[in-house]
Amino acid sequence: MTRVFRLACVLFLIVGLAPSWGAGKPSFTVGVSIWTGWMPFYLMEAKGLLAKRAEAEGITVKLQKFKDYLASVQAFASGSLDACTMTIMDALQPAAGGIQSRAVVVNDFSAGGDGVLAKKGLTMKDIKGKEVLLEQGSVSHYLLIKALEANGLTEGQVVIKNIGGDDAGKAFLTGQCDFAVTWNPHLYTAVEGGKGEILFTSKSIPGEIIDLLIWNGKKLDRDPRPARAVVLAWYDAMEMIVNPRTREEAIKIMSSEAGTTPDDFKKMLGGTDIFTDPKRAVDFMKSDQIKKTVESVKLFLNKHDKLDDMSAEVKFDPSFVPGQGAVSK
Amino acid sequence: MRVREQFRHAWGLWLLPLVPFVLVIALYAKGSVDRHLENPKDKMMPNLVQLTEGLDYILQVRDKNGYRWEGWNDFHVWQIHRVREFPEGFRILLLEDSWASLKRLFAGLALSSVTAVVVGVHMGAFPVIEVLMFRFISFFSFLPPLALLPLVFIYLGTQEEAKVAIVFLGTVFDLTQNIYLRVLEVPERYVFQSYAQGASTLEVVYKICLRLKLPPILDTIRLAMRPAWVYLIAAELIAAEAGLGYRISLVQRSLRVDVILWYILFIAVLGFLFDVLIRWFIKRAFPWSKYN
Repeated sequence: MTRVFRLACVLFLIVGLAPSWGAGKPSFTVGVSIWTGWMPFYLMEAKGLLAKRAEAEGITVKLQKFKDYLASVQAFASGSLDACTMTIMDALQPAAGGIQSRAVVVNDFSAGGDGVLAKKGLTMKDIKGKEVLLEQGSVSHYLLIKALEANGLTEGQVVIKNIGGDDAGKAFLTGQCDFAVTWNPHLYTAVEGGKGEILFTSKSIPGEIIDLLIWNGKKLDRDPRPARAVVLAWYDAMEMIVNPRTREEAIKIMSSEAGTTPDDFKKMLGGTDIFTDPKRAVDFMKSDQIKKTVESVKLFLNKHDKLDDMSAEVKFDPSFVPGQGAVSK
Repeated sequence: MRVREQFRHAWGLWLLPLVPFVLVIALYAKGSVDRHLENPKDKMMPNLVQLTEGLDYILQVRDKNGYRWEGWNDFHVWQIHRVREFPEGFRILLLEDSWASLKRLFAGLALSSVTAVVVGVHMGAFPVIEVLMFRFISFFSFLPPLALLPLVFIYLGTQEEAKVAIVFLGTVFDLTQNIYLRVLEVPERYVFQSYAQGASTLEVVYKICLRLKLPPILDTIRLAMRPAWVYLIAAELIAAEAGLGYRISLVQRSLRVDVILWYILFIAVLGFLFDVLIRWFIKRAFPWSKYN
């Protein structure tokens, strides 16, 4: 008995002390999930760019890879992450929950990567009264409303059926529905397979479906070092992507992390306008357009009962973006 | 205290069951208070004010487009006679979602119960059918229905059938096996005596075996309601317009934990109610059964 007890004591001590062993450097966690515009995060980890930048700041930054995008947003909203990648829509939710959302990098905006799919031969006029599969409250929902508006229709004239955005694409590809709002690779797969046509894409609303790296404002004020490291590493990755000598390798790494082929990944990149140029990113973050987009998104969310707190804000903080022209095109 | 010593303390019988409930609530309250001290707007562990907002969200009367009815603010529960003032085609999320979910749950469970009784009873009664079905059932009972979700959804589409099918697939194999085992438990001598007294095979199967084992069979179905709920909630993640699981996944996006908690509680209450109901029914309908 005493021996068991002693053993238990030793075990307890080890378990109790274990966390303090790694306490040499402060550690930070950034949540990421798989999306074309966020694959550079995977690249900067795979190539050790992030580790190098973090080392220079005397810290460690861990990338926590989420399989489920919404789970990553929730983890951020619960305050357990320092930062997380998310779309501009979802960035407002943590803000409404008292977690300051501060965008330190604008990753990309969708330029054709999201779209309204329809069976061959159908047009936007045929959508009236029909069932449309999409993920409610997501960028797809927002895009559909813009598509309807552009065609003089309203949301009340269609029947929206909620389904995960990826599943909406799969359902369309297996012929379960006439209309779906989804994203790539489903869009080009549907077109290439002759299964459907794209009626409206995010190309028609450039700069509205924006992907961001959102930092927890409170934590950023407390310690800006990890944000600096991550933003610099992000632009190191951008450098790798634009540089013709490293571009192929970068695409190979990113496509394998995304579980696809380099050719498919290039197609995905076609629908995603990544801000490789820091100057352009800074200009965009300071522009009136982005403010207008935030307002438009807020109204959308409020109208759909998804945001009560209209004082929720996404603040844009370009201060970590490195000096203009650091990355050549 | 001795092993198996009777416990008949008058207050204890009432108070002790409350202890774990109170403990859980206290733990939650502590967590919620801590989180709100750190961040007053915290939504992940809603406090009482936020919880009432959540309750309001799921109970408020909405027009057919889902917007709040103008009269809701000065409406009180006891003014039920004002129902006529409600907008045409009004909606209440909780009712709408429960109705949608219960329909699916009972459709799936009814299908699987009937199948399981038909197959299980005959397996237990006739060794030929046992040989025919046993391997099949015990093999497919290992099939994880949640992994089948994407397939069901490709074959059956995004309509109601797919959700009912998931509930069905999730419960039918275990139910069949259980019912088959129950029927095997019918003592041999009952069977022989029935035949000796001139009963036909049909009578032995349905009047003796099935009837004798009906109470435990119903009880098996009662227990199958738990997995049925699990699969239903998961199935509602694929294309739905209403349903308890659907609402939970929908409001997740806007971090409405206040709503999610009420829904979770409500699911537990519904499950508990049906459980009690079936147990009561078994007791009433089969007073002769030793099973009670």
